[in-house]
Amino acid sequence: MCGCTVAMTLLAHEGATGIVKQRMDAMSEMGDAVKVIADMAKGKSEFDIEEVRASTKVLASHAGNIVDHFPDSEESRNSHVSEALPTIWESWEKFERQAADLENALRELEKDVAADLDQRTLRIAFARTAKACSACHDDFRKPQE
Amino acid sequence: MLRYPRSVATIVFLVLGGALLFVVIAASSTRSASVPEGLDALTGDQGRGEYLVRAAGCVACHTDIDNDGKFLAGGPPIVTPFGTFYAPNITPDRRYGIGAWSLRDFYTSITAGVSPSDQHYFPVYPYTSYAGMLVQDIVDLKVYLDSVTPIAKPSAPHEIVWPFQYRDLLGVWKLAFFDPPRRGDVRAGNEGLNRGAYLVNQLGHCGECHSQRNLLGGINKREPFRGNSRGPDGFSVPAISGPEASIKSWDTADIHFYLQTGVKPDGDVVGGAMSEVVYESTSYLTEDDLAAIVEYLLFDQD
Repeated sequence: MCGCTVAMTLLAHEGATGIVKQRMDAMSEMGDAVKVIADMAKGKSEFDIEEVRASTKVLASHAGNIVDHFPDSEESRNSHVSEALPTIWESWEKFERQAADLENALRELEKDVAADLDQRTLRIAFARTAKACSACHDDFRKPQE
Repeated sequence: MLRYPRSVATIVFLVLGGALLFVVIAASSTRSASVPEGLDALTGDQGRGEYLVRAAGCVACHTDIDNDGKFLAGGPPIVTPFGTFYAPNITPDRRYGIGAWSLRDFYTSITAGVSPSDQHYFPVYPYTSYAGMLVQDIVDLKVYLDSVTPIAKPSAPHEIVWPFQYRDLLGVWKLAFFDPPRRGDVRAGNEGLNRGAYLVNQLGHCGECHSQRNLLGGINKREPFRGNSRGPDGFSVPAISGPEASIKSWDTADIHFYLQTGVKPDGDVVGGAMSEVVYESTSYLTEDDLAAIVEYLLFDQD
């Protein structure tokens, strides 16, 4: 399962270089961290609060880099593999605001998971983070299939 | 040559007959709406109404969330092949909202798609699904809507493609495509499954976006939930039933968690119009209701 995810990630990012590769890899790592937490919240893997905390930390550290990962450069804007929409640079302030929303949501999540919480509480807390991801993707990422 | 005059007469007869029929249908169809006996004697529960506003997905269409619009005071543009629609202000403001409506007005609007001034509503308002709503749920909704902050803001006018702006045409449309759904048990005695069907088909009105529509916007009811390549805002909406439904590879926990948080099995998050559905509607549902929805969605999948 894990090997499969890695293989697909590599395939999707083939041809990406420089800053585009960096940010795509970062987004993939965020997706993987989300999956770790999600599988535990769903009861698909054994609930381990330490692992939830570690994954939340991964998310928080990447979230802090999002704005820097989208410079207004030729490569950043026009890479063929990139899923970034030009609206990022056309509505830069909104992009910054939404990135800040994600950082705030993750700070809240870090506080929530610092306590010993049950799966139901984790699901509700986690929905706020996911909402911040989704809001930004809706405006600034090419529509997925 | 001899046949010619006769066929002209036939055409004239058909056109005149059709026009007459049309006028009769258009004029009479709004009046066919009826309300159940004893409606006015029912009392609503505001707390249940608040839950139902979420379950029925009222918020995403009637609130301009992206622009920090006031709660239920009118929504963002909904782009369709028939024009651009704006869900109106449904706060209890007496002038710009629905504060002056009686319970009967509200009931007729929801179940028949007819306004208090006897006009047809466009089916972008999913009365086609809401028509099967429980009477008590409608009463609860009304009590809650009466309690929210009234906002004195006029609703934006729709921008409709010719000739669909003629609301009388909707009388004919309704005759062709609107048969008020019969709310029946999917399987007698199976409470979860039946509740799931109600949440999906009536309150959640999932079929409005997830089903194919014909050229006049009528839903393909023989094969519902098979996806719509021309969904709202031009995006394709996936099938949630039938051979094309990718949801079939998801299990109960995956769908439940997705509707609750927006997170997909692969760690990606919900996008497009469905993100409003998740974050303004399904994420507010109880565990029991989510479980019921999932049970119904996975029921009858090949």
